[in-house]
Amino acid sequence: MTDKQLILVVDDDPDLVESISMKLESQNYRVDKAYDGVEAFAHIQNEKPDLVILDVMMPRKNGYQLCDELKKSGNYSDIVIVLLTAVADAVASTNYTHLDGKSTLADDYIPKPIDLDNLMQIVHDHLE
Amino acid sequence: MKLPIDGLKIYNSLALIFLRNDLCAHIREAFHRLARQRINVNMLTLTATGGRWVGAGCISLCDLDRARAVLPESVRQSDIIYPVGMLTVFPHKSRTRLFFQLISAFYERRLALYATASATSTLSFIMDGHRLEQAAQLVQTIAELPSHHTPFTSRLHVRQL
Amino acid sequence: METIAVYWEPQIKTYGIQVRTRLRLISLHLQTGAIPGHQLDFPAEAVRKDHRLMLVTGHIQADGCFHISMLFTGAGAAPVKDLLIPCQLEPANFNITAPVELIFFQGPHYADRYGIADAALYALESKQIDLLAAACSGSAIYLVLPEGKAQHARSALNDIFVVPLK
Repeated sequence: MTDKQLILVVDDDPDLVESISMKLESQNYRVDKAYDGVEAFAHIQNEKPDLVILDVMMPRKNGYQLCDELKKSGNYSDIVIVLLTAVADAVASTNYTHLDGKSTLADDYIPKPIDLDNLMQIVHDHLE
Repeated sequence: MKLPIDGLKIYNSLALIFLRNDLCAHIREAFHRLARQRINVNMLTLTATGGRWVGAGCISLCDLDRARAVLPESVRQSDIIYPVGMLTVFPHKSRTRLFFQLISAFYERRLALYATASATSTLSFIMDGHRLEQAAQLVQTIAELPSHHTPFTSRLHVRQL
Repeated sequence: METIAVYWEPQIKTYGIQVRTRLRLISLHLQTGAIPGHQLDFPAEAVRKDHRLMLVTGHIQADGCFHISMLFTGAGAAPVKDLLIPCQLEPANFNITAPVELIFFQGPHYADRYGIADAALYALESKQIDLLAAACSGSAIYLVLPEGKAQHARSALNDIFVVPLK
């Protein structure tokens, strides 16, 4: 076992998952990766992370659904969830609105494109 | 021993355009015209030698007719092949062994490989569209997927205005 | 494939632009009929120590050969022969350019959006920066440049793309 905190990065863009993971590892966090909501939930059941960086728009199970499931569960409601989404000023229309995001029980909400340094600060603030 | 990977994706219905030793300025102009036609280049590989470029670019098959109208004259009919597909494995973790084992396996099974490119995490291969499933099976003889891996074909699409 | 969002932005955003210098670009020309996979792997020890693969890109050529460009760190490290001897390649079948530089970046949904490669190539052309190789794949763009050009290219890309402030 290790004292390092575990962060699960969930996004259907493997390149972004890798970039975030490399940055987190350089900040001395342990990183687990998943590429959709179903896979993420399986990982969480296998080892409970301290924090989940969670994309919204994903196949099979989207970020809102997974966030809702975790926050309403008995076992996982204390996991910090930071939602990431491209639902910013750059998106003309979408099935996933800002309002949906802000009405979730997520602990933080960051529109893409993310600034990795800013994301690291947010992660650090939540896990301090 | 199999090499661990996190996932594998396959996308079909693509066309591949080979760029054969054309002037950089011509190819630049071609990309500009494709952009003006709102045609996405899903994958691109280019090598420059002495003011000329060789390479290949992939577009969606549904954009092919519009693309033909704006490509430079140097792109001949035989320089466009379709339907092709893209097989992507991730993460590559800078493993040369993963890359070479995959391309040698494709050649041993006579799965034609037309183009390849890596990104931060992904390693993508352009192949015949009708043989993507076979290629995906072959990858699994070399690479180990996790038990709850994301499905090979599930993908969301974002459209640019 | 389900379309879940329609994207629009006046200027293309990135997650940040990165530069690597002192790299080695190895170009291989392989007969597609006989690619000996077991011979093509570079020595694991050399790769671990000095030579991290930054990029691989390739395509089949008109003569039927497969052209592969591989970009490694460690331009001044181990001798080139340490990398290529195990491949048993004839000297005519490979070429090494070093040192070279790399500029790369990624952004949201680049794989689905038109005009991104065009914008990157335009940025370089506008400042008359030559390109040695390029790959646009997934959500990333990699541009391989001659020595001393990466910072110039960064400035050119900064004019075209939105880059997060440090």
